[in-house]
Amino acid sequence: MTDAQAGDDRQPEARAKGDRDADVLGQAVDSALIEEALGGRLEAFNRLVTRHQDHLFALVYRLVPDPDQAADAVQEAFFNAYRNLASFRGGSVSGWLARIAVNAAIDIQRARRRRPVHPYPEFEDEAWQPPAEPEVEPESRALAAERSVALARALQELPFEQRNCILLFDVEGYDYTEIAAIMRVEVGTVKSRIHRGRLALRGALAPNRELFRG
Amino acid sequence: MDSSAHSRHDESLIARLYGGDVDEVERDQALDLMAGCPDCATLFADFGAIAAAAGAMPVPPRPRDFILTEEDAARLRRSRRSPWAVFGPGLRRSLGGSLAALGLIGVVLTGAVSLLGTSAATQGTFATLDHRAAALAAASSSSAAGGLSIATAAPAVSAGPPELPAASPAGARANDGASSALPAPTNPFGPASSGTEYAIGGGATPGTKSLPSGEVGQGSGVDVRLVWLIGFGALFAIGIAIAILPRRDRRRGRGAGS
Repeated sequence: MTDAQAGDDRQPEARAKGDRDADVLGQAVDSALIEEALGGRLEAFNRLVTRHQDHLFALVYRLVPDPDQAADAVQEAFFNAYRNLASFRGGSVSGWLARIAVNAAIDIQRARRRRPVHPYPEFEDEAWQPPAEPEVEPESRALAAERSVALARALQELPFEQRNCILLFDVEGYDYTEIAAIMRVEVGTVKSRIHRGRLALRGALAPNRELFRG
Repeated sequence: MDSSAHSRHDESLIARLYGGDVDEVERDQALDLMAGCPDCATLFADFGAIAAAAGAMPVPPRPRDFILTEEDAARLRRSRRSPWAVFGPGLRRSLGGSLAALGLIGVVLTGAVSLLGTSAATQGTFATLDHRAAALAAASSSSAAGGLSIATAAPAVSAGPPELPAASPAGARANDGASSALPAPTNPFGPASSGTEYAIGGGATPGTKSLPSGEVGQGSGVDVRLVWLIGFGALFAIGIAIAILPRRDRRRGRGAGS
């Protein structure tokens, strides 16, 4: 939860309307920046980068859980976006950039299949604790850390196609059709990957079931 | 999270219910299943807990800014015009790798076929020549010692009226005088494909050609196998170039972006 959200005491309806307005405004700003960038203004494109780099890094890091490789994938995604600015056909700039970033992540994953690395290197450190708000109880923080480590390891046991689909669906909130377009597969394939992956993930987490209950 | 407990249930249906991928009939069926089976209800709850935990997995702070420099932009603008820009890096690597693999396989196969072909042709040539020499010796035992010519322009010799063969000067000298009384030596092996005369035993003389091993039966132009070998080699080189070019591009990009 961000500071802005924590301090937001508006009614839910008002908050939802505010979010929608912010989305519309954000899309308008993105579209204007794209237009300027197409006109040759690099600063406009870099403003787009600044607006979206945190979200893209978080998205790619979930798919490629190595900070250096995730950063490389995001950088490559922005290069590709700049190179293919003219191919932007309108709509959500955020979604367009996310598609490019996911494809860059998939490229990295394919390369990694040939040269495997330790995923989530920070989790290998026993003393590692996930960043959390100061008001969270130390026990809860320790439980969350343990859960994250177990989940990260279980996710790594899945084929990356299944892992990507699950993360894009459950975490990023894409629907089946959007994931199919990103992954360039049929919608039925996406559904199958998600349902099978979900069952496989649950099976892989069986030894740690108590971490996820209660 | 013991999946074996659900072996008699439709786990896939519960998974599809969680993903919202069921029609109304299936939805009712799944809800009935969950209402009557605590394990199925737990399965559904576990899916929710796992999804929530996945969303809560921490993300480390972004290690750097991804802002493009002027050099990056200039390079990327140039690459917009590049023919490689049509393909993404992944596709380029796949295409390049496939071409290189195809070229390499072609080079190896062509090389192997070439080696085997040369060996077989050599053996076949010697066998044929031995056979021809023996047959000719039996057919014309009165031939004088010295060079014996085989006129391989068979149709003119065997089909025409008996007349002197188009023998080499060496053969003509050997049969000097008595040669007009001899029947024309027909070619017992039928027509040959070449009109060249080949000298056996007496060595090459003017107008004849000695038989190099491996040359019988082949065309006299450019070696086809060599052409294939060069072609596959070029394919391999092009494939490697296509596969490597994007990597160089990416390395430049990383350096500029970091």
